[in-house]
Amino acid sequence: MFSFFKKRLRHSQIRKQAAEASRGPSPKPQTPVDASLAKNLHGIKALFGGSEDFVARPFLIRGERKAAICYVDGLVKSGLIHEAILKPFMIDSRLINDMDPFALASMEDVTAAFLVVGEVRAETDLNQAAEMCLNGDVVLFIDKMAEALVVNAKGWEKRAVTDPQTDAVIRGPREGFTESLRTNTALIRRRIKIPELRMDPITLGVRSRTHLCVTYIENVANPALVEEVKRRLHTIDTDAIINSGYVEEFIEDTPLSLFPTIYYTEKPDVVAGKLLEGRVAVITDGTPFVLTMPFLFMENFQSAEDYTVRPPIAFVLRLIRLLSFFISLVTPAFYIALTKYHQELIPTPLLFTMAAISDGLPFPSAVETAIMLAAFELIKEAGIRLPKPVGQAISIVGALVMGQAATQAGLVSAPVVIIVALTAVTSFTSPTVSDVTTILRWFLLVLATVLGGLGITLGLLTILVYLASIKSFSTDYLAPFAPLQTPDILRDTLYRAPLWSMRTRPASLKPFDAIRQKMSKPNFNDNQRPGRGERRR
Amino acid sequence: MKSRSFTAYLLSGILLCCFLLTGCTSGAQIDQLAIVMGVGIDKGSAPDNYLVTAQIARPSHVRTANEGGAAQGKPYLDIQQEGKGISMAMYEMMRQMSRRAYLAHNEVIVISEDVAAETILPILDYFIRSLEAKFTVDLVIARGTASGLLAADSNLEQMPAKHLQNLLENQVKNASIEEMPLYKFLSDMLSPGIAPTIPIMELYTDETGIQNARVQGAAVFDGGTLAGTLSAEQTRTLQLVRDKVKSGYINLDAFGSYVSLDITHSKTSVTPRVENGRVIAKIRIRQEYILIDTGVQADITTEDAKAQLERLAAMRLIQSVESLLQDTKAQGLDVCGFGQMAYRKYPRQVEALLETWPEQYKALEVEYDVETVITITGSILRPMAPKGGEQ
Repeated sequence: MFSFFKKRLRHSQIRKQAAEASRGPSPKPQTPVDASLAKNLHGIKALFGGSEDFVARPFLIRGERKAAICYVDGLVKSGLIHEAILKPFMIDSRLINDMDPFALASMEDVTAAFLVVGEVRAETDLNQAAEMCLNGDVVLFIDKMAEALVVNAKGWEKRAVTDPQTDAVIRGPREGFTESLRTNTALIRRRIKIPELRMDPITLGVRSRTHLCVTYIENVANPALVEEVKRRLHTIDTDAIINSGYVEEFIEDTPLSLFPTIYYTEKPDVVAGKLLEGRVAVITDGTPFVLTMPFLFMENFQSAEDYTVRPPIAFVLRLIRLLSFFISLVTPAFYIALTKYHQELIPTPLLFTMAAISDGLPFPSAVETAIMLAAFELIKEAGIRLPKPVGQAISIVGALVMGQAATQAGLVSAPVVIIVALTAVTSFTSPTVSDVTTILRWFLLVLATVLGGLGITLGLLTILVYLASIKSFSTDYLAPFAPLQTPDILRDTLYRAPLWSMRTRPASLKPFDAIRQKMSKPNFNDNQRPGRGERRR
Repeated sequence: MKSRSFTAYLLSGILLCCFLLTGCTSGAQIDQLAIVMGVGIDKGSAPDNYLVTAQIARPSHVRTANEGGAAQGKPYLDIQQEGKGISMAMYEMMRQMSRRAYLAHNEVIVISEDVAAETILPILDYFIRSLEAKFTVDLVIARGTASGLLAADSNLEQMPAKHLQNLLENQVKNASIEEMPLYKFLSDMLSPGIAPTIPIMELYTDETGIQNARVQGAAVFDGGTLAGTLSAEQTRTLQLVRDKVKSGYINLDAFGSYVSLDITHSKTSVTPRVENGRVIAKIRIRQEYILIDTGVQADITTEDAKAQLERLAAMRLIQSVESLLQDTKAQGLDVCGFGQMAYRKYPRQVEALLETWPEQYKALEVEYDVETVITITGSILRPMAPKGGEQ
């Protein structure tokens, strides 16, 4: 059923793309930088209209030759402009006695002689120069020179690197990504210090001109995968990319699916780990969430914590997460199936208790469960959106009123409250699938109401078949279980093998270089301890 | 291509909607069910008629872990209805009930002795055919009326039906008798070379006038008809031969008083063999005991005394088995299932014999190999007695 919609969507997408192609893109005409400073300034001012934050500051080099700098206020470091651009030209140049400002013929001369800044480029197109201003660069025009200099003086207000709000860990790095692309790339670079870590830039969004960065490790990631990610990114023809969620929606395999096929994280150490497994990351400027792909179903139940705790504990943690996913998905449906169709499966004393409680309740169990589940969703949504202090009040009202009062007033039975509470608690153990379970839970609930245990079985089968059918960047979503990759399963699915035993990268990702390390079980208890050897000698 | 797949999706969508149309036909809320805990079956006023008693739980009166407390009154309800066959009686019962009788939690089926004397097959037929009733329900033969037994005092439990079932379950602990679930009765009844047994219970009135139920031997069936009974002592022996003794005791008369031995270990194995077209069964019993109680004031820890006690215990075992065999051989009812055991070991040789098994059983030869060991004498060696007290 899902793929039916998927196909429809694909048709409409193709149709739309064809329409776009016939309209054709409208490339901006090139406006070369003129030799006349006045003309250049006029041109660039015209581009910005009367924008208040656009600054064009004319000055004289050595008090003689006309020049000007343009920048967007707020995106640049003012101190740098004063110290490294204006001061050398206006003041320091006077200290050189035999300097002739009119002898500066090319931009190379200017750069070499005056600019005390690291990154400087020449630009001949006025439109391009304007765009550079918008990226936080300073554009320098000099009279009688048909070239502009783009000086890197980026310096806007940034949020500091802080603890991420999601994916909290007890033991492990606490740094989280910020909204700044450059900070984020640096955070990854700090973890993988090889030149093979590629950061390929792409600018997307006709109006937002958002910078993205396709990150991967050359000779580790599969080149075909990298190509595919870039190809998909290039198909994006949209107004604006405001958030990494936009990118995700434009390039994922199953745009209408409930299940995510691209992972997002706020933690640079997680991204580093994924890159080293042979995945590709996409960093989007303006959002602290970095996308990694391909994303497999099992990753929903993995956490950064798993790799810092001991393997058996990681195993238990993952077991709990998987179990929670299942409980949160099935419990309400199972409860209804039990009370409505399969009363023989309830232990006799429990049946008595439940029968005694349900005597005199106004609604059948399915309606009760639906009411309580809906109430929980309401409380949850209200709690997230409200300001923190009010949110607490809401949770207290929710917990007390919904739970206690509803039971005491005889509106719902206590077992239903327990079921919903269990569902609620378990749904938060795997954050990436918690939204999915919320919806699928209702799907199973309806099936269980209509068909009982048979309905649950059919529903779960449908979900399983669907999961087996979808892919994430040509990797099967259920890999390594379907298709079967036994070494992968043993290494890093439910059981996280000891790090020294993970000799290869996950085969289901088809990495370019499959070998991760050549280690065997560490053994430090043999006779080659230095102390003993010395004594023997 | 596109239109075909579209049709396929449309069809599957319509099929899914069909599921929704079934509209919970077999569903029922818990508060719409009358949970039957026990069924009693007595003879009706006409042939083929049964008087069915259904013991139905009243959940609001049942004591549960919930502290709210149960309503006053009996936690169960006995509803009686006569009808031709069990199903008719059950359906007619609805005239007296606001809820549907739900058999899935039925713990026990009590059948009166006079119904069993004719046949219990039509009764079993109903409970086997039923989609709800479970195969693990226990069968009980009532001496007297079944409805009377279901009205017995519920003792430590909340409902007589539950009491009867727990009572049966508890018998395993002193090795006196085993419960007979429906499925086991069927499998015994359908296999040749074994006569199925069902525990018998009867009512007795104690000194305060309360009607209590107790286990009193077992009924032996030939097909679906009651053919004989075993005494309480005989059922205990039956458990011994079937190697179902987990614990229990033996009481011996020795040294002018009594000696009680607690069974700590018991293993019985029956090895049948076929010789000259006859089945010979070798019963090997090994039991270990702890001396738990004695009226003998002398030291019985000597090797001689111990050997004598062990010999007495072995004799007792052989005697009890002999007595059981003698009684059942007279009726041709192989309660221990020697025929079945022989058939399992030598299917080809015994197959022909099984056709006339009751006759064969009468001529069955049994060999004994009994080993009895008293391992320890409890926490003391000699009995407590003041020095020189006894002259």
